[in-house]
Amino acid sequence: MRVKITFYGRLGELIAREVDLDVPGPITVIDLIRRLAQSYSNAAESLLHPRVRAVVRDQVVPQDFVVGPGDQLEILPIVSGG
Amino acid sequence: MWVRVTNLKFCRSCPVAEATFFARLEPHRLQPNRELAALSGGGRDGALVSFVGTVRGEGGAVERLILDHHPVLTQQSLDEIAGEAAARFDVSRVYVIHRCGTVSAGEPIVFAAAASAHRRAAFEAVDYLMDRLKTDAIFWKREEGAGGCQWIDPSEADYADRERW
Repeated sequence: MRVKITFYGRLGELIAREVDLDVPGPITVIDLIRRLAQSYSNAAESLLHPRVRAVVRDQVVPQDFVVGPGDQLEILPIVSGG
Repeated sequence: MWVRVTNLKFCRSCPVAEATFFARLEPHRLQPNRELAALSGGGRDGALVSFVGTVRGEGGAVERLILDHHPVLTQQSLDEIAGEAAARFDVSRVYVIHRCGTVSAGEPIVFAAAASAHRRAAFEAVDYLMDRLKTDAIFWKREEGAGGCQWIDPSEADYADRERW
């Protein structure tokens, strides 16, 4: 299963604005983030920050949300504020 | 588009007051004088309080700020903050304009304003707006300049200011 992931802020700089990640099947947000942290060790600290949020279809989703086929995930690092 | 909400705080003269709010994400240079002029007049409010935040150059170390934003959630966060201020204080209008993209040192980055019958509510509403915007508005800011490039997180003081409300 291929998941398209969009990153913002420092994560967009450290990883890329968008990546396609191949996973064996449906996967929880937290497991997907851990997998990303292993693949992009330079971004691990930012990915695993407690204020990181995951978004699917413009809705913030919890870490146990299961990302399925066709879902596009967005990862928001800690926001800077205005 | 202005959005109408009901104040949570009752005013003395009427049991339920209505306020309107407006929030806009601005990709081009902010013109605070024009924004203020658009809010002035009409004669119905006794107070109009505005705040303009500008990018600090830090003595030349910062030449510009890059504001990354989410295509949907950033505007939603501005709407939520402005709407909460309109509902929470005894104001008639709340107005927020926030830059996105590249903002050079010295340029305005945010314009926040509130109008009310009496000054205290408008001052409080703008104070609230800025404390919320500094921590809850969905932006990612990167400083660029002679001092290098770095992403900015809210400070502990910003979070403490947010907790005042």
